[in-house]
Amino acid sequence: MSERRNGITGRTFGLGAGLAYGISAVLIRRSVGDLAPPLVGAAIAMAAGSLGLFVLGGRGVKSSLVESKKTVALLLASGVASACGVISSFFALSLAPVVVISPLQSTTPLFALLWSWLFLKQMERITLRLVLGSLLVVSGVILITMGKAG
Amino acid sequence: MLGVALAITAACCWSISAILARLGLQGGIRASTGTFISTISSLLLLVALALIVNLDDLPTLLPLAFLWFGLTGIVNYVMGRQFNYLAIKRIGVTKATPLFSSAPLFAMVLAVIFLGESINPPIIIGSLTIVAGLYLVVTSQ
Repeated sequence: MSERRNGITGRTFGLGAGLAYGISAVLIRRSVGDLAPPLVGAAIAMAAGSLGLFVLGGRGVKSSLVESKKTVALLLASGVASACGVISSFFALSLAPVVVISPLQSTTPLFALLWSWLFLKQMERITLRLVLGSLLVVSGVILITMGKAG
Repeated sequence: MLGVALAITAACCWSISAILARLGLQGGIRASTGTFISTISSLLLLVALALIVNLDDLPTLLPLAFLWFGLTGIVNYVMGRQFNYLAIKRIGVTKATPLFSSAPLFAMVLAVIFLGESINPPIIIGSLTIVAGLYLVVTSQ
């Protein structure tokens, strides 16, 4: 795949992920308190998601283990970090109002920029445009959170 | 104060997760397989914690809860996390993260259309700010 085509599909997938996360946020807003405790709901959702992903990508696990244990270890660690994020978020929301917690959580892209600058200098190109774009996205998310709270 | 520290920890953890995914997806592994592998460890941790914290609630769950959260999981992980990993694999963490962090914009539009939620000036300004940010990220080389 050419670099240009790769860039276009990558950006489309990134926005697609944003849309999917947005849809699931609306679904959660409709259901959480009434149907199950949030942590149980999150576990059920992840179990269903894992099942779906197993159907799509489960066949490749065995060959991945044979080819590169390091790859599998990094991806398992990625999953652990993601779950730690969900768990931290869950307990944060039980200790402070969403209007305080949500803006702080939305700073993820800024941390990603920091870690990339520190550890992935060879792989990631950080430009002023990218930094400004990330800052605007985070600011916008904070404004939306404030608007919903007000 | 602990709540604030935990919220910042969550943001840190999610960004570290994206960095690790970037490193893990470097080779020839398919994004769908990589996404599945990452959800295994997430699932084990979350289920363990749910059993510890909410064990008493489990027998009272209605089938509708499994249906509704199951649907949410399909959208969030099969679509969301997989697209997230596909984006990270193709364009890297620094470009992909702001794109999927725009989720509140999509959630707001959907909530206005389907849940009848109202909008106000901060929400409108916030939405325009996100769109401007996305433009900068999408058009960056």
